Amino acid sequence: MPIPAEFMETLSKRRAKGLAGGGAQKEVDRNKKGLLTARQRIGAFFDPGTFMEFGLFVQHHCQDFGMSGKDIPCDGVITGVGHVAGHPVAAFAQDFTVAGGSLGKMHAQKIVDLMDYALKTGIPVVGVNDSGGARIQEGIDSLSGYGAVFYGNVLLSGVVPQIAIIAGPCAGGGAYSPALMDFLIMTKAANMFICGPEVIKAVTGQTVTMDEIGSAAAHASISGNIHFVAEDDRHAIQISHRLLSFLPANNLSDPPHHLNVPLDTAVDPGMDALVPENPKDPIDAHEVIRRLVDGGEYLEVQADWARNIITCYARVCGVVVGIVSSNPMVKAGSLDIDSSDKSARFIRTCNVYNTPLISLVDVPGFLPGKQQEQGGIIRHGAKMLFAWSSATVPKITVIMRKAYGGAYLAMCSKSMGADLVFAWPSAEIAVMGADGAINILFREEIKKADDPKARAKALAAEYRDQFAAPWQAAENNMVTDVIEPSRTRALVALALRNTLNKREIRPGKKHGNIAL
Amino acid sequence: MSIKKLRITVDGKAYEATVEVLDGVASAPAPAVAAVAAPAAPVKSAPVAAPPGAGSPAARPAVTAGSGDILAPLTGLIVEVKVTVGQDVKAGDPVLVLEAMKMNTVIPAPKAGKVAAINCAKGENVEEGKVLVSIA
Repeated sequence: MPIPAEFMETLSKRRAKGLAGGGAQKEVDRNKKGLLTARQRIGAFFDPGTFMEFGLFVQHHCQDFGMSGKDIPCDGVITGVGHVAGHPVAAFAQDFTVAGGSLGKMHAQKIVDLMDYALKTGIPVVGVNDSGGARIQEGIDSLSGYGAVFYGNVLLSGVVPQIAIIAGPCAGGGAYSPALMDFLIMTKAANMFICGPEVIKAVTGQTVTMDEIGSAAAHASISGNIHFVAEDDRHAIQISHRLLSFLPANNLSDPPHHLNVPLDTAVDPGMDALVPENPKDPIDAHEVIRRLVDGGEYLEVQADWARNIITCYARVCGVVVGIVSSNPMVKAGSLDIDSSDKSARFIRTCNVYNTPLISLVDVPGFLPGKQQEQGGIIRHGAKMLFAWSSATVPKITVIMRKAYGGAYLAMCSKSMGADLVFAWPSAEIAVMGADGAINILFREEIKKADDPKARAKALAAEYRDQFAAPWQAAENNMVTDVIEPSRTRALVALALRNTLNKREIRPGKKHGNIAL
Repeated sequence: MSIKKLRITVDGKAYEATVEVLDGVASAPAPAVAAVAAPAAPVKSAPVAAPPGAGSPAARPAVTAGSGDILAPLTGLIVEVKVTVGQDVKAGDPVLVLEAMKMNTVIPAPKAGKVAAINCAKGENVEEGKVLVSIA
């Protein structure tokens, strides 16, 4: 006897209602504005036919403020698991077309359930945020829902990659779930803030615009809260796919290396040509990276913030790497508060997901300034030192040119745990710059000289020849080898293969106490 | 691949963000996504054509593409003023060279136009954020 037809009809009807979300008209309206609906986003994110939905029939249970009997399909959030390039990924998408995507008790529970599943099965989580905020009618149930989501984000942190896409409003407490994840991608149509312009005006009297405080541009270049700016929803999804192509499913897996790619032993004379004759003219670090990595392709993370340092993902002869590079074209490549924060976070993200690190060094020092000192450059710079020293993944350092003082250590010297250190002949590895050093070392001699300026200049030149070079470091076993720039790709590729199985046992502890 | 720029001004200080629009924005999830950050891959072993500094993507101006004001990106010494008042410049042309932190930073024109004012001179120490040159 077959299953009764009315059972099947009820299922169809209920399913259709859930799938419809806010309805056809809202979908048309959104699409006209260049926005996708939550269901369209889920559809664009996963390989066709692979989405397994969790909780299509979930409803709220709120009886207050006229909520009784009010229908909120999926309780405003679509959750489930599907495949991206054949690999399972958990995803949720808040549905702004029903109750403004507001977060209520069941909405939160659906997200938490999905995260629990991702944690148990070791798969990444991608969340599309598009919500008016807490569902006020549900009161503290809504508030505690946020708490449960945050707690879940933290539980998953460092176990499975978490990527947030901000594709609409993301305000107040809602902004903290993305902030607890590994990467934030934000569309131009979205905005994210804790207190909006109205609240700022009411409380402080300051007049600010949403563009200034909450836009993707502001977060990408000023606050440093996000990692990628997307033109629109589909672009955001593309970025998330590309990001996933560099990440392992979880912290017990290796990232997707392509180890069948043969080693490249060719020399690249173009790399030699990148070192300008005048030591004061900057090296184009982006160009160095392009020549170092497979196909010249890399995914820059936080490209518009703290541009004096470059952080990016790429492959070198198939091995996935995270690259941290000085950028001498911006602020002379010096380290400051923002660039320390940016690179420390990236180093820790790479370490937690077993991604080998490459440091490209051309750093003149920490940026001098009252703002820097008062802003706590000591504490922020310490994050970089902490991140490098605590990272147990392969660490390969290439000293292109300047490697001065504490800033060199903050770019991962051998003493900070680099496994292999290569220096170009143009490297200047010294405790400080020539002019500063001779003023300390030869203060009396310069003062007594007939022509102090000429004496200082001569001494500086001598110091530069002797100490602003790779040779003292090489003689003292602080670099593995001094190499022609043209051999950098070949040697880094070899170094990665040789170091890939590195295992390091550290003393057991709850966690280190990084300066925050 | 096209590049779009977003810009934002806070307290008179301009910041910019660059967005690269990837090719093949299709309705289905794109299987092979083009590089987000990398322009055309360089031909291996080819000599580097352009001198580092001017015009390269890394030397993006630190000010908005719309504003012609060039601000000092960091405190330092002006070692070269490459333009004169009234001169026509193209976007990306080197305008100033600033020495700071043992390094020469080439500051390019943020947009094409005429040099309207030069507020600094060779040998002068300038503070971060000072308007050095205006292009109208």
